[in-house]
Amino acid sequence: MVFVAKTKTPNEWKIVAQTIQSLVEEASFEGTAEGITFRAMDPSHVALIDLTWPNAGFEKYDCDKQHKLTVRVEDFVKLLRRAGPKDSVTIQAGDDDMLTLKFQNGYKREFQIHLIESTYSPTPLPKLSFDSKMVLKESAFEEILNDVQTISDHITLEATKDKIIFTGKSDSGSASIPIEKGNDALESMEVGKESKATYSLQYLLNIVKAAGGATEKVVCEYSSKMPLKMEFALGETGGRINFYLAPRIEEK
Amino acid sequence: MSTSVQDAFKDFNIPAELCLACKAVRRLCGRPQCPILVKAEAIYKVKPLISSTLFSGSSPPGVFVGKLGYPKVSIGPLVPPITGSTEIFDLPEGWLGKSFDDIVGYRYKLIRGRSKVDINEAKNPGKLLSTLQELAMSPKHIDAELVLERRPDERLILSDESQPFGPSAPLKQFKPSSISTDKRVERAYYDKDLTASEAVFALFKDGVEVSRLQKAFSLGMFGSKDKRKIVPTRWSITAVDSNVSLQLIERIKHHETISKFRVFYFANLDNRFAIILAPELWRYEMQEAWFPNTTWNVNEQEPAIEGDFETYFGRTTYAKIHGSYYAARLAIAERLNSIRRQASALVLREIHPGYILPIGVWNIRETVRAALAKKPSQHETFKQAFVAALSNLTIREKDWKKKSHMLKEWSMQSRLKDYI
Repeated sequence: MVFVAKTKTPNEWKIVAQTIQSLVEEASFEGTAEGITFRAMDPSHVALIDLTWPNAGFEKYDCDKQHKLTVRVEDFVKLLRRAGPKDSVTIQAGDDDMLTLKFQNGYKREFQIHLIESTYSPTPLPKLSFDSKMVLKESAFEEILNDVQTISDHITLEATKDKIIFTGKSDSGSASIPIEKGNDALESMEVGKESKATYSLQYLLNIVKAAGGATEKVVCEYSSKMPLKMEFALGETGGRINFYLAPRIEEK
Repeated sequence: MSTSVQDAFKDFNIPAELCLACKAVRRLCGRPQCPILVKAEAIYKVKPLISSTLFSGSSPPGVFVGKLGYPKVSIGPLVPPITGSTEIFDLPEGWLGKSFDDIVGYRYKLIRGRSKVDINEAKNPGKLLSTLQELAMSPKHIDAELVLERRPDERLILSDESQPFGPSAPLKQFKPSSISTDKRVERAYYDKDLTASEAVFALFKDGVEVSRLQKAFSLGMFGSKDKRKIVPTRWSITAVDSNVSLQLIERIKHHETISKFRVFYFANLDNRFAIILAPELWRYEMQEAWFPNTTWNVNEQEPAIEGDFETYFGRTTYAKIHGSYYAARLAIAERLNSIRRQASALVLREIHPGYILPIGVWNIRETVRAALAKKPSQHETFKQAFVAALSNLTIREKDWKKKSHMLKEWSMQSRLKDYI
């Protein structure tokens, strides 16, 4: 039984672990010959992360059969923080319920943590079709979220044929940020049907801050009063972090 | 808040002219019972008994650790001038259903000797601390002699966290009769490899009352030897509530969630508690509404609502509403763990003017325990559950919703499972 995955730097692992840490306490990575996947919903069942990291994204990848590697995310993040920016990272598992992390840049450092028994049950993906799709510059999107957060704890996305408007409202006031087609912040936009939905900023900011570090753009897809899907690229070989967020609903 | 009858006006923040016009008859301050009279009567009853410097009586057993002067704090025993079964005087677990008169009466009778020690003395206890530690290990009252430097002052210490503490004076001598100890507590005391939190949790599981754990914890009786410290009573109450509930929550997270919304209700001392348990993973919130003319809302015309919450992942800061948050969390976590279920919990507490004195968070712990011991109403939806919870409360739906994170979430946030 072998599982070995090596990356040139710790960047991608750090992003993956921090993204997961914003939603769950323990993470079950599935290792197969094709690569690593991970899927989990947050305890409130409001958000979901779906990670795909194909074997081509690794400098070395070896997996003889399906491995389920469950770790306490906090422990995992703590170890990864010890990796320097130029350290290569090798993650390894065998038959002994331990996960080995090796960092190397000059000399080698090796850590082992206990794998734990997973308490999460399989998570199906929501069945969705999307009316609107935008590709936003990651840094601009993060700014927009921060802007609206000064006023509200939720954000409304309203997409029309030629622009998207981000708004926030609370007892203290309102914020409105319209971005038109052709603006640098908005790389592309397709609107099949005008769409309007509201989402929790706390979730959005957590995820964009964590996963956004991996990429310069974010793909957002949604329909009116339906969940939002965001896609962040992980590396340049097809890896991606997909994030789903249930909408807030107007009170009846 | 510490007071004698003379400065009661100041303490209760009631204009003197109002009291003069009322004289405890017309209820002009809006409270159904005069807080000044409750205290005055307790002092009056105990006064003939405390006009001395020498006391003999039965300690419930009781101890107190002050926080003034920290890290040099006052420690001392509590001894009433009464012999016999005095356990109830220092056992909040037995106070549910008792009146303010009863509780203040118990507390005023407990005369407290005080002596200054450094909190680090717990690493190597001197004679007084050792004696008090032994006293705190006793499961029942201990006859004792208390000699004070002077006659005790007629003060009652009131706080939100701790139960009231009564007359005190510097301690000259404390001589208990032979003490038979609770072997469970004694074992934890001598086990210097156990951490304080392991010791407290093991004893809690063994059925030692929370109030007794708090006493022992305050005297620095648990933990590895070089880490033991004396902890002021007020802090030790919340420390034990917080610590035990955290360990219970870790267990709860492994249990199945409940299947329907459950709503519980209980009222005690003009405090009303409605509790909603939701069929979701662990989360917790407590909101408190202090009505006008209650201790922490004297000058406003409207109820003041304040609260705090934690997600599944817990919290890293001290809760805005202090000890009451942790006392209710302990009662909830204890119940969920005993039925081996997981849930999200929201506690809504209304403090009406009949709650005339702050008497400690035991009231919250015991009232929430009592509420959860009753049969709940069960509901399919959050909406139904909230309507049921509101039926026993006076604060309006929109005012709770304005403050409560979980109420906002439940009414506004959809779940991904709705789209799967």
